[in-house]
Amino acid sequence: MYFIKKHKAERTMSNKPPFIANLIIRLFSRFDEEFDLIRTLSDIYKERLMDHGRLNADIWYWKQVLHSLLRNRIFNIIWSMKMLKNYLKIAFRNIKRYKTYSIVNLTGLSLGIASSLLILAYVNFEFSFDEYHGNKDRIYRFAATGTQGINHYSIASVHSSVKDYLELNFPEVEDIVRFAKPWLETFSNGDKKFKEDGLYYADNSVFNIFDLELLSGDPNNALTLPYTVVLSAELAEKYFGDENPLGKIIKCDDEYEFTITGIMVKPPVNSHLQYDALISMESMKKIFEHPFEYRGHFDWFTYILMREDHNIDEFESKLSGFFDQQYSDVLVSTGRNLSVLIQPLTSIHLYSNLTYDNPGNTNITYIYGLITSAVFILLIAIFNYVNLSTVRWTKRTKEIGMRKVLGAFKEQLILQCFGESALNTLIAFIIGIILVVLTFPYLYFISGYNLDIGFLTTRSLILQALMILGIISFTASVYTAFFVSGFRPIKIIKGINTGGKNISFSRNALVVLQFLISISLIIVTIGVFGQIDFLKQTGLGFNDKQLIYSPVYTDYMGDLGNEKVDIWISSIKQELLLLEGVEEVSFTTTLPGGYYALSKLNPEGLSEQKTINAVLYDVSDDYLKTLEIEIIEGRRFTKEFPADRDNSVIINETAAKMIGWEEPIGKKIKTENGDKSWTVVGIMKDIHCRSLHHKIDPLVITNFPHSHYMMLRIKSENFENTLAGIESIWDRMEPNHPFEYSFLEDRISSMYNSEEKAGKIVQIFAILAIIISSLGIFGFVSYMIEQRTKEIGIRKTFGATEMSIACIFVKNLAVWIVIASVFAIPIGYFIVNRWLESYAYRINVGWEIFLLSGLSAFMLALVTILFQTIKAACAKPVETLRYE
Amino acid sequence: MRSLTVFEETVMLAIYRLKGNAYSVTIHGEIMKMTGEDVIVGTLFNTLKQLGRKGYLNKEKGRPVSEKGKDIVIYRITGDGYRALEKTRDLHNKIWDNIPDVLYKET
Repeated sequence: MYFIKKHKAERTMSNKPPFIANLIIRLFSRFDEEFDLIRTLSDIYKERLMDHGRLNADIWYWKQVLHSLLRNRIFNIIWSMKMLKNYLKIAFRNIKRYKTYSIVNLTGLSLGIASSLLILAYVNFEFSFDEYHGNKDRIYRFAATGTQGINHYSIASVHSSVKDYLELNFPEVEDIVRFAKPWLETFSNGDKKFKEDGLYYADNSVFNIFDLELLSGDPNNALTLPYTVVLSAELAEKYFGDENPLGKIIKCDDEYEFTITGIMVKPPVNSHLQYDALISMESMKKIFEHPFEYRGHFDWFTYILMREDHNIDEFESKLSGFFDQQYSDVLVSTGRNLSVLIQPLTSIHLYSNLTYDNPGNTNITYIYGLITSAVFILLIAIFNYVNLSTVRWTKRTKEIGMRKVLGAFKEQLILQCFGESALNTLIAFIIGIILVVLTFPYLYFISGYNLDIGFLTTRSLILQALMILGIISFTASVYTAFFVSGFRPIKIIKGINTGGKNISFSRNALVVLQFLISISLIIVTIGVFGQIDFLKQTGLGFNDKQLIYSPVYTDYMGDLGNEKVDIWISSIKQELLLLEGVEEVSFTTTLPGGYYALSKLNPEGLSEQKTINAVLYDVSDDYLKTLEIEIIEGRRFTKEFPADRDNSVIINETAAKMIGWEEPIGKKIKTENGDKSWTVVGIMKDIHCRSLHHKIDPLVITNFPHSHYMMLRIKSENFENTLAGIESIWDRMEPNHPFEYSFLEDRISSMYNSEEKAGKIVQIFAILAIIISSLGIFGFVSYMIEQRTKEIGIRKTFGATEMSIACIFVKNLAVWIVIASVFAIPIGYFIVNRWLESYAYRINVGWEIFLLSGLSAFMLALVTILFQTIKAACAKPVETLRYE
Repeated sequence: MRSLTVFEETVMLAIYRLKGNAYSVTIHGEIMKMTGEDVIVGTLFNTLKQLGRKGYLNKEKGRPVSEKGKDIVIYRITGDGYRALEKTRDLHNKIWDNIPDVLYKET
C-alpha cells in the first residue's frame, strides 16, 4: 500500500501513467525491445494528457491495457478450458471403465482419509483444552512435587493457606482461586433428591480469573457469603424446573441449606476442571473447621492469575524452598519433601500427569501414539493409491503415446496426471468426510468424550483437513506423474512395456511396506491383548470373584467410639453371616488396588536407623479368609486370640524376605518413631497392592477394625434375594447412609481402563491397516492376472493344472509376506517391549506371536486373492488364446 | 502473394503517409487521424510483427524522440509491401467495379 500512495503523490505532478496498469503489463507480457508496450503507451499517454486532461488519459490507458490483456490471454484460456474438459472427460471415463480398480482405490484412500481425519479431530479436541479462557496465558496451577520414602509423587492440590501467603508476599500475583472437593453428596429440593458429582468449593475470584459466565447473579459477590451456591443452568432446571431459582434454598445431604446466588454456564467439555455447582469457600470453613487449621491437608486446587508483565521463571525461582520453609512441621512428620510445581493452565490436561489429580486428564504420549498410527494408516492408503494408479496408468500407455505423438509437452502430461490424482483424492476425500460424519459418534470409544458434531466445523480443523488433502494429492500423484511422463512414445506404440525392472521393484517394495506396517500393527495388537489378558488372569493374587464391598461411613464410626465400633462390627457381621449366600464378611481401611501410601517400619533385629517402607492395612479378623489368601507360616487373626486386636501383625512373603528374619513368627515390628509395636503372628502369600505396573510391595496387616469398607463374599443362587437381606440388615444397623455395593472385580479391572482403551485403538488401527492393504493386494493381483492371461492359457494348453497355476500367484504373495515379516518382527517386538516396560509383571513376547501375526496376514491376503486366482486358473485356454 | 486485410492495409497506408517518421506512437496517431478509431496498441504490435515477418516492412533505428528516451524503431514499406498494397487496391477496384455510388437506390 505504501508504494501505491507514494506513487499517487508523485503522479499528481508528473505525467506518468497509472502504476498498477503498468504492473499488470509487466506481469502478463514478455518484455520486447522492439515492441515495448509500456514505452509506446506512455508516450501516447503524455500527448493525451496534454490534449484531453488526466481523467480522459487515465481511462484511455486502462482501456488499452485491459484490452491487450484480454486479447493476449483469451485464446489461452479458451484453449485450456477445452483441454481441461478433455482431461476431465478422460478421468471420469477411466473411473467408470476400470470399476474394480476405482472402487478398490477409492475405498482404500477414503478409509485412510476418514480414519486420519477422525484422529485429527480428536487430537485437535485434546489440544483445545482450556484454550477458551481469555486469561489463559496468565493462569497457572500451583501444584507440588516431591518424594515420600522411595516413591516419587506429585500432587495437584496444596493447602489453603498458600493463597494467603502468596497474596501477602507476591505483588506479581493478581488474583488467586482455590477449589476443593466437598464431602457432600446429594442435593435436594422437596422430593427431588439426586446424587451429584460435580461439586466444588470455590472462592469468589473464580469469576475474575476464569471465563465463567453468570447467567444471573452478581459475579462480584456470588460466592462471598457462607452457605451460598452457584448452580449450572442444567442443574437449576433439574431441581427447579421453570421457576427462577435465584435466592431459593437448596438442601445438601438433608443437613445444610444453601442459598442460590447465581446461575452459571457449565464449563465446556474441553475444560480440565468440570463442575456443576460451586459452593462458597466460606461454607467450607463453617462445615469443616479442621482442615483449614491442620496444615497437612493438601486439598485445595489453587489457580493463580499473574499480572500482565509477569515473569514466571523468576516467580518460580522465588518459590524454591517454599514448602520446606512454610510446611516443615507437616512434611517431616509424614516423611515427605516437596517443591513447588507451577503449571501453565493450558498444559495441565495433556502434560501434567500427576500422581494425585482430578480425573480426566490425558497423557501426551497417548496422543502421540494416536498420531503415529494415523500417519501409518494414511501412508498405507497412499502406497495403495500410488501402486494401483501406476498399474492403471500402464494400461493407458497407448493414450499417453498418442498424446506425446500429437505434441503434448512433458509438463502437460505431468499436469494431467496430477489433475487426475487430485480429482481422485478429492472424491475419496468427500467420501472420507461422509464417513467421518457417520462414524463421529463412535469416536466416543476412543476419546471417552461425547463431542458435539459442530466441533468438526472448527476453522483450524478445516484448514488442517485441507492441508491433508493437499499433502495426499501431492504425494499420491508425484511418483505417478513422473513415472507416466517418462514413457517413451515409440516404445509404447510398439507395445514394449516401459519402466521394466525398476518399476516392478518399487511396486513390490510398496506392497511389502504395506504389509510391514500391517504385520507390525498385528504384532502390537496381539501383544497388547496378551498383556491385558494376563493382567486379568493374574488379578491381584487373590480370588476377586463374587466379592462385593460397601463404604462404611467414618463420621458414623467416629461418633460411636472405639468400643462401640467393635460391637457394631461384630453384631452386623453375625447377622449378615446368618443370611443365606453370605460366606464371609470382613472390614478393612484400604481396598486392594486402591489408595496407597507407604509407612516406615522398624523391624526387630535390624539396626535402629534401618527401616523398611511397607504398605499398612488395618483389617478385621476374617480379612484373609474373605479374600481367600493363604497363610504360609503361623496363623490368621482369630477371635480366639482377643489380644490380636491392635497387637499382632501378619506380613507377606515379600516383607519377610526384605527383612530377612530366619524365624519370623513372634518377632516385633515397631513404627519408625517407636510409639507402636506389633508382634508378627503369620506370613501370608503375596498379593498385589497396586496394579501390575508395580512390583509387589511389602505388606503388613494389623488387626484393627476401624474401617472404611465392608467386604462380603457371596456365593448365592439368588443374588437379588441375598442383597435385599443385606440391605434390610444394613438399614436397621446404620440408618444414616444407604448400602451402596460395588463389585471388587470391577474395581480391579477398572485399574486397567487405559490399557483396554489402548488395546481397542490398536485393534481398530490394525484392522484398518489390514483392510486397506488387502484392498491393495486385491487390485494388484487382479492386474497381474490380467497381464498374464495369455501365459496362463499357454501353460494350460501345455498341461499345467489349476493348482500349479494358482501356486504361481500364491508364491508371489508368500514372498512378499515373508520379506515384510522379516522387517516387521523387530519393529513390532521393539514397540511391544517398550510398552511392556512399564509393567513389573508382563508376558513374554515369544516367537509364537510373530508366527501368528505373519500367518494371519498371509491367510487374510490369501483369502482376498483366492477368488480371482481360482477364476484365472479355471479359465479355459480357448477363451484366453482365441484372439492370438 | 496474398492481398492484405483491412487492418493491415490501414497500418501500411498509415506508414506510407508518415514518410520516414513511422514509429509506434506516430502510427497509432496517424490511424486515429485517418479513421477516427482508437486502435489497441497490442493489436497494432501484432500486426506490425506479422507484416515484418511477411517482408512488407523494413525496420531501421531512429534517434530518440526525447533527450532521455531510447532509440526508436522506424518502419518503411519494402517493394513487396508496395506490391501488396497495389494488389489490394486492384482487388478493391475490381470488386467495387460496376457498383453504383449509392447502393440502396437500386434496391
